[in-house]
Amino acid sequence: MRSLQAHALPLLIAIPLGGAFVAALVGRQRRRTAAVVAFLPSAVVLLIVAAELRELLAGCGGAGPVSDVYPLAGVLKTGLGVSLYADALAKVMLGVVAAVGLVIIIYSPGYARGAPNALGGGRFYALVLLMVAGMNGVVLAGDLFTMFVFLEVASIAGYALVALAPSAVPTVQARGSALPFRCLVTGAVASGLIMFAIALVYAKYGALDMATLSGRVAAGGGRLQISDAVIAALFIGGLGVKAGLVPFDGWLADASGASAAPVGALFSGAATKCLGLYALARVLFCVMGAGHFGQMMIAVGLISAIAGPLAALGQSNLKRLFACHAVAGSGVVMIGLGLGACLTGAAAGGEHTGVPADAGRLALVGAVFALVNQAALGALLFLCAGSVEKSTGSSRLEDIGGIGSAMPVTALATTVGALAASGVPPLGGFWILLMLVMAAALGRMYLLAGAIVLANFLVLVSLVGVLKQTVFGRVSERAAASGEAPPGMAIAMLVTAIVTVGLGVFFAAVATGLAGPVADVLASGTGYGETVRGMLGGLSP
Amino acid sequence: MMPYLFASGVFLVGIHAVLAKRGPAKTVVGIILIQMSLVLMLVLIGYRSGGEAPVVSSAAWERVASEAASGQAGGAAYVDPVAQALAAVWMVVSVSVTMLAVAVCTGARERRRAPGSLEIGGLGG
Repeated sequence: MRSLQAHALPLLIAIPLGGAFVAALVGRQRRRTAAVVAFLPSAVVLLIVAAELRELLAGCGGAGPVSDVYPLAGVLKTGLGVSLYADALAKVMLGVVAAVGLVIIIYSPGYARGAPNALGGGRFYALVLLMVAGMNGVVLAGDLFTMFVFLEVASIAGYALVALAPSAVPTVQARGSALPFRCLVTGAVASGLIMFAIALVYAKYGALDMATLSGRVAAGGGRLQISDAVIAALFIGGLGVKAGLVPFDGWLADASGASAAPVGALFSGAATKCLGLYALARVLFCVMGAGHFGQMMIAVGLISAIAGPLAALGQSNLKRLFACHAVAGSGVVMIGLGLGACLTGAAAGGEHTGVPADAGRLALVGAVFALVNQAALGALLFLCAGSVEKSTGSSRLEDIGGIGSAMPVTALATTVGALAASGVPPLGGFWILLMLVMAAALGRMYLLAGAIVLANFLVLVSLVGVLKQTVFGRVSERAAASGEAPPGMAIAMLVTAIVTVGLGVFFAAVATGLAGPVADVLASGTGYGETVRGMLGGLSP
Repeated sequence: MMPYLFASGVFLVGIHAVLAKRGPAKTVVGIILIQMSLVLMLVLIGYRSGGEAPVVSSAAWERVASEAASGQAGGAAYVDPVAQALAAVWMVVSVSVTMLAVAVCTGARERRRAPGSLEIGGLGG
């Protein structure tokens, strides 16, 4: 336990929270000051997280799991203590959230320029910081209920963002004003499902602390009980909504289409990944022991991965189209997680199954890498959509043909994002495809391997079509009249594009340095509890 | 088993109210039903038959201690305070969501400048 690092954990929640209040106070009159006020805490958070990640990369030489734990209140012995806990999984997720948050805050002043009411005045920055604080809380929470409360903090800030920061371009949607409400209702029902699951967990195991819970679940033996299956299904249902998985994905396209592009980037890049996929991975793997639920996860993920790009083929609005691809991205991560759970369980279960021991870990590395990659390119695509929308005044595909000549930076960034999503080597999507297909083949799930390839092919068809029409297409009137985005937006897009390319090019380093330790955390399953208990000094389950 | 069935029943009524799409006011009522069914469930999970409210005065503490010493208490002196704490926090969360839902839906109505256009029907909108 590194005391100095551990003391930084509460700061990761406190700094953006404090910044949110200051930004809310300042932002009423001065939008630009609010942007600066919001920039500082985000930058500090990113620096702290970068230090943690550096330690993680340094520790991958074999020093064992690098984790920090910070008890806040209560007695962990009773299984009811409140603590903050950061292991490899949490640290990588913190990095994603901090980076996406900072990029959006750099991007937004340019997006709002010239439109006084865009982004709801300065309140936008307060809400973004609030959402970052909530997401950091979800990532760091050491017990289910704290996680849930932070999930609600982030969700409520998200609903408010959708309602307060409408698209800078007035969309021609008759039902536009009802969209935030529908998004909120979906989220509220999802919260109900999650709370239902948490109440059942408490009733069954008498604890909320994840470390204690994992010990009690592990002590229950390896057999699947109906109550556990119900709990897992409720968690998948509730958190699946937050992750934007089919069939609960309608809200993501609605919210992204109707609200400002930075909001879509925040949802696609950070919120669905952190509130949905991270929370699901944490609960199912570290608390419930995922072995039994792998099939369920694969099924949910596969539907999203195929239905997402199919829905995208029919979209004419750029932002809604990218939201459909975010759904597909979440689905791919779920497939990887489920595959990892199945194969890890199969390899541990018996020798005669013929599944190599590494197959599960390979799938998990693929899933984690997909999570990071989808976060980067999800944010990138929305930033590009915002830039196009800002310059041309439209986000309809037929209006924005041939932006390539007028907006070189945006066109380059869009191309990078689209190619990274559709599995063109050497960008990230290709490595994900490779790892997941290999893992499925090693696990003798050839049909699943084929389905993954099919899903990737659909993404490729959809995004190449979009590129052909927008970036390289016939120059439309609007595109001819437009110019490049303001510098802040261009910088944000370029940085995100460079990160996306970097993830693909330095794939080996990312996979072994970052995704590897995370996959180990996931593969150890309920061993999570022992790690935490060991760090706190021998508590009994 | 009863708490779960009871709460699930109310929960499902709430889901039905949300899905039936009879205007935003009824949807909000559905959300409230979903939320309150979980309060009900938490309180029932924490209930111990014959238990007292978990407010530990010194007199109550001494009585419990003496009962425990003489071996007659079954460990059910208090209802579970943790479940009640969860219910309280959940109520705070759900009230915020409900407030935001109402704010969004009245805001949407004002933007259209047409009172009653969102069919608040039965509630006189």
